[in-house]
Amino acid sequence: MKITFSAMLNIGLTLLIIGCAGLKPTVFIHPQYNLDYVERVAVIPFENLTTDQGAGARITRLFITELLASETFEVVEPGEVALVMQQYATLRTADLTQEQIKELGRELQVQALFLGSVNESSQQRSGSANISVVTLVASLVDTESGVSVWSATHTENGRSFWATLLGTGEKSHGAVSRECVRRTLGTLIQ
Amino acid sequence: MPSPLSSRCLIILLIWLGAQTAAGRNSEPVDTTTFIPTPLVLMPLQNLSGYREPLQSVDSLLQVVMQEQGIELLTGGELRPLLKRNRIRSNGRVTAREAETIRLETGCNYLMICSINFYLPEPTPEIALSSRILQLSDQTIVRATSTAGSSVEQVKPFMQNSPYDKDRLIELVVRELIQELTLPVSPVDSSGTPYPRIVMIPFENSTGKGRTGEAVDNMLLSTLVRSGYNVMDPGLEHELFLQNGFLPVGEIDLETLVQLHELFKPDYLVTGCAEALLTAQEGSSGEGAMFEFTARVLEPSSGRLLAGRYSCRRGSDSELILGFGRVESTGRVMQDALAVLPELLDSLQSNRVSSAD
Repeated sequence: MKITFSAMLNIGLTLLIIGCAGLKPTVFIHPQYNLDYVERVAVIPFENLTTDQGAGARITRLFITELLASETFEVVEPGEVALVMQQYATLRTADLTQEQIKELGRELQVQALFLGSVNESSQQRSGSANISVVTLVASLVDTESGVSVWSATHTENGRSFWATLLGTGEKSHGAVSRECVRRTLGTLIQ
Repeated sequence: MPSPLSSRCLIILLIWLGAQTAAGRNSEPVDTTTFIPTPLVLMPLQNLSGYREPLQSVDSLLQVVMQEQGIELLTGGELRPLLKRNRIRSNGRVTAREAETIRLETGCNYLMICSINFYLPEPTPEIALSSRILQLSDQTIVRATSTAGSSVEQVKPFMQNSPYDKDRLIELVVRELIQELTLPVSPVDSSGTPYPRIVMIPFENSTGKGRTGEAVDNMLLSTLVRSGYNVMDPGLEHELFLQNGFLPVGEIDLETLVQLHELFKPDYLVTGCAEALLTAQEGSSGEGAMFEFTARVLEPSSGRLLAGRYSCRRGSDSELILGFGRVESTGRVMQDALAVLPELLDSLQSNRVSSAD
């Protein structure tokens, strides 16, 4: 009887942890591409596909900060990227052609560009709590060939295991955004 | 029976203790004016709070407290005609031409610029102030500080005292500001190497709250100056940007960076964005105020991005238990969050020195 009870408890806890853990990022990494070749990159401001004003710019800044903190690549100052991007102001970054990506690479003197979009940035009501949800789609494009060499999608929510169990405060929207960026980038940079 | 040696030691000890007590009783109050250059021109207050309420009381209290300290001041009434005649706006910065005009017309070589960075009215008033003193002849910042307070912070746990009202709180914070302004800045590196020169590009404001970006600029400037860094006065760079016909906020392009480098030869450039700001009332219950920002450090000589930092600080971060140690003041939470930047610059500088060796 004791064994059955502890087994049930274990299964229950495991299910609870799995339920709270959320989805893992979906990742594509080009099998033949050597990332060691990439030294200098630029982050093109992420598109905002949500109703949360400023989410694109905010996630872009967090992405750059995490990229710098990883010390993996040299990153171009966003002000310089904004200046070069003025000529493509009418375009959505998703609509950039291979030629335009190559051109951007030459102008910014980078081997690769990070492109992306924020697909969700919202607060969802769950019982008495407001849970933040952020979804980021990011990719790394080689500026010599215009080919995507890495791409990842991740959804992060503010519901933590302990918060659910103990009914304590949920993560702030900023913390969820940052975690989402970290996990997405973590699939490229170990 | 104590030995002669031990009784002699005891007598010497008693005489020494007596001398110490007498010295303590007769000691003069510390002369703080030695640290504030005087005479001083006090510019009209810059109000970033969005409330008119604290302007008058902060302004008059600043004058009273400084005059109490024996600081010679040139203030509002005498200064306004000069500012009007020369079309000098009190927007928290002065250009090189304006600095020279003020110096020549007043005969004072020091200018104090103060700002109200943040204010919340009753029932739980909060206030955050910043101040810096400029040497007008070369427009270098000689002193800078920021202080903040909340009425709730004045309630001591298990004591019967009530929260401070608005006026008492403002007086407390103004006095603290002047007190801190008199403290010397961090001593120069023991090796004698001068601290790096820093240029700050105004922070972007993504908080949705009034002029938080400018408040962050003021607070960061004083944090860096207090850490011993040689920060370029924002008035000088603003002048350069105006000449170029644009004002970069939160980012900078290479061309402007090169110009900045040629003119001022800074070692580092700091910029960033205030991402989120919640007061204790707006945030989650029991967590206090919250401030979040991202910042980047650039090397102006090469245009390289050297480092990036995200920092988030909540009032409850320093809480031990049951509210003990929790920071209630929004301004103080902002200052605590910004304190990571001098640490980041210190580590960059030590890396630079070690790689040069």
